[in-house]
Amino acid sequence: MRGFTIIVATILSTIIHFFVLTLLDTIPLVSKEIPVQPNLYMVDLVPLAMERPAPQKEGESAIQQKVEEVKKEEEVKKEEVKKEETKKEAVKKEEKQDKVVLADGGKEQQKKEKTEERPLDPEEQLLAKIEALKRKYPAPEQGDSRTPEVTAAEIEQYKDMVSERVKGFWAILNIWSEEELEVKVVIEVDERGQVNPRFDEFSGNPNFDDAVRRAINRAAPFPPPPGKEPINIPRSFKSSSLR
Amino acid sequence: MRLLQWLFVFCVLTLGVLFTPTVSKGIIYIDIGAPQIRKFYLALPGIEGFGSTPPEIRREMEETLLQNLTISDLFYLIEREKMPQGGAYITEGNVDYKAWVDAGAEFLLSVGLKAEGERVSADFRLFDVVQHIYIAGKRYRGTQEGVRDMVHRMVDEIIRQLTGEQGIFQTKIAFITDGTGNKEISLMDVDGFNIQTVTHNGSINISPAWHPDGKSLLFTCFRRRNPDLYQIFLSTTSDILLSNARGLNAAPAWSPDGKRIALMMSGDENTEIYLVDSRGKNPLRLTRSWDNKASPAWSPDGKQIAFVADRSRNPQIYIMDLPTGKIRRLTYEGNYNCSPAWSPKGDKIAFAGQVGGVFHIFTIRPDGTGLKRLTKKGNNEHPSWAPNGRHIVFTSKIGGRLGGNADLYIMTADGGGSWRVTNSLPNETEPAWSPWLQ
Repeated sequence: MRGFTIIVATILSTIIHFFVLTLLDTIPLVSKEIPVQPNLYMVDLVPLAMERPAPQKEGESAIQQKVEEVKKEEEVKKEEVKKEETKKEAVKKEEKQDKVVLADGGKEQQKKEKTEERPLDPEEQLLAKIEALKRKYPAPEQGDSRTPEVTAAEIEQYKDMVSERVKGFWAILNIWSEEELEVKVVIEVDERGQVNPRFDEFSGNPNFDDAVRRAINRAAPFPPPPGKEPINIPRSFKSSSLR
Repeated sequence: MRLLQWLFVFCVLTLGVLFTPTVSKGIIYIDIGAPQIRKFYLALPGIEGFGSTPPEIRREMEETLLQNLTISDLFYLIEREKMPQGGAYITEGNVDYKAWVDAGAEFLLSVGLKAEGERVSADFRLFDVVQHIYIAGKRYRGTQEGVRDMVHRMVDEIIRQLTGEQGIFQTKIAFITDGTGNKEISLMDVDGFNIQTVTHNGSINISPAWHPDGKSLLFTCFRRRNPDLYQIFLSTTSDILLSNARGLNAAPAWSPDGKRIALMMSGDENTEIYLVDSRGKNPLRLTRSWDNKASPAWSPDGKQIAFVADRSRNPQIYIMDLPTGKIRRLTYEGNYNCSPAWSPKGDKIAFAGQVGGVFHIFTIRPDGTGLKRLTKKGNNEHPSWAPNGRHIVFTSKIGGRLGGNADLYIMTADGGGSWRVTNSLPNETEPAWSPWLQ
């Protein structure tokens, strides 16, 4: 009898175990979602931090991006036009040479052609300048994030400058200085020196958070960062740093 | 195989737990440093009057607005001469943020007023010019008499928008005036206007104390030739007798929950602190010793009472812990400290202390540290806290020891400002600031 119960119990437990394990097997396991490499956590979790979107700012930046895109397109178009014009010039020059050879002193025609050529001269100069500049500053290779001239010291100096300027505008009402409030912000400075505060931690007092935002916005815009590369400057703002 | 999978899951979870906190601290946020502690820079261009708005209404509104903003002690007002967009009524449509920032403003308050006969409507628009944000705008409608009231609401709303805290301009201050030759209780707005007499009994009425709901007052009246305790209801100005024990029934103070009243009553040969219920019944003697006790003041949590006692041969402030009945001495400086008032936040006790023959207002922490003198001149008594815990109203005689006319003044809890709110021939004394009113 005792032996029988033991057998039944073992069978039951195996069955239960079997069911539990199969059940677990059907549940999508966390392991499939999370990469094992700890380095990847850094990338994933930081944007997950509490962030209240500043719709206006984002809207502005979106508009600015669009404006930039449009500008770039226009530039491309201009370049194309210029190329075409240079082609035309070349053709015209050829024609002119032909005419010089062929014609027997048709001054009026020459004058006309000269008046047509004149406005092209400055563009030619510009093109030449651009060429010269291109030779002087070769375009950075793709994948190279920073121009080699920018040193870590320069970046640190720039960060110090930004936080000093923000600190100059960092002011709160005395009614907040009695509380223990802290805000953690990443001051994101883009390649043109425009700023976007990204709040990683709010104080719980929206008006205090706003004072932080105001200090950063008042200090902006900054000169473009070294190497015109966006810089992130994490700073904490406390209601009283003395305590 | 499953075991391996389990092990794998276990490892992943452990790794997750181990790495998550370090990652959230992965960014080092360097402290930017101590902030400047200062007021906001607010630009208030002249109020725009529309239609046939009489200039005196516009002026009244402007004066009230400026006075209220000043008393709030939250703003530096930008000088009118420096203001851009000269004279234009500023709305979301035409605001030139940059010009206002260049003028030194952080916030811009644009107010419009329109009066047609008796009907008055006023609106305000509040801008954060630094961030180019239109924060809020509201319109108020009422009658010509209600202009000051509109401004009080407006300023409270502005303060709420900018600080997240409730403004004090819709509260009242009760006080004693001797304008009729007797001492009667009156009410006024925080800025000293809209004075209403509450008692008309031609006797001596003293020590007004607010019920926590702001609907009634306790006071001591001599109309039956004995200082008895009464309660008066503000909506009807009808009063009821609460306590007429032989001898004193004075200096009442309602507990924060409104269920008990602490007051000073006659003991054997001295005065003692008693507790009675909200109907003035069931007196409970709290203190029992040979010395005189007076002026009970509740802590906001209702667990302690500060009072004055002269057991050290001169009046000093003591605190009684109600659950244990233990008494400790709070003040040691000076020879005469009286009228304690516990701040609504509980962090400070204001009192009047004698220095060189005149009284000054002090604050001290309930643990006896942080003694601070707030007033500099005059003879100052009877401090009472605003419900926001940031303002104190008190009686002051500028004549100092020699006497002079007593008026009511408001200052901030750290001694800032000091604005005279009454300016009349009668003496105004014993102010009691109301709780938040609906």
